[in-house]
Amino acid sequence: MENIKKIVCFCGSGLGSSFMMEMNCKKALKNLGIDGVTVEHTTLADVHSGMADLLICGNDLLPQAQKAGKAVGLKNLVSLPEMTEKLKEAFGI
Amino acid sequence: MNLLKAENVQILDHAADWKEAIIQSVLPLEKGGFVTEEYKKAVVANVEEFGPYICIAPHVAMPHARPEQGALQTQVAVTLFREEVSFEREDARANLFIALAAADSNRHLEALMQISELLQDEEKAEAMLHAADAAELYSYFA
Repeated sequence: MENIKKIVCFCGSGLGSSFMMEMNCKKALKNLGIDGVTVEHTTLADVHSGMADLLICGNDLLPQAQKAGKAVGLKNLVSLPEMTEKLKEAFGI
Repeated sequence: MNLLKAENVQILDHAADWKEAIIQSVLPLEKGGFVTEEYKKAVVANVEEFGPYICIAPHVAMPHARPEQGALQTQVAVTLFREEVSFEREDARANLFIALAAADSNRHLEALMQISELLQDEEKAEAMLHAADAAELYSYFA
């Protein structure tokens, strides 16, 4: 399993969709039985290299995210099944 | 949802383009004094800069900007466009616009959680897209 300790979800404004992703991310981690991971949300403007082990955003912002590290993009930002699937891939489980 | 008033739910036939759709969907918040005139322009400018990050789910957009961009009070307005609005990208289209004004970074979290939960329910989300009138649309959020 990949060693991911900090996840940052972000969107263009840093308070709407990014928060929804953070909530779903926490739910998905819990469902997957993964502990000890910090999840935060922020705005694209604050995303920088090395800030997290994994970045999560909408597909539209994925190219920017990849410049700052390992990243996954979501098609549906509020879908728990998609979040769960993407986290499984990222953690390698 | 206590952050949504019945008078801020509307159904419109179509918008000329996505900018017009954002403006129309934010207008009830502006009329109600929840956001300044600048807010709708800020949302349009943000989308021009960052791309359609407001498209949060299939058929659903959530126009929103930062508190300092003109949000005065935390509130939600819902607009359904009968005709799909395209954001000039293949995967970015929406009919249902849930405009959000967040006066600070915390007060709106409850509303976001509720919106998120609502949209998880695919049947309900589908029903919203086909609401016969504003009253029916409002009932899904009540």
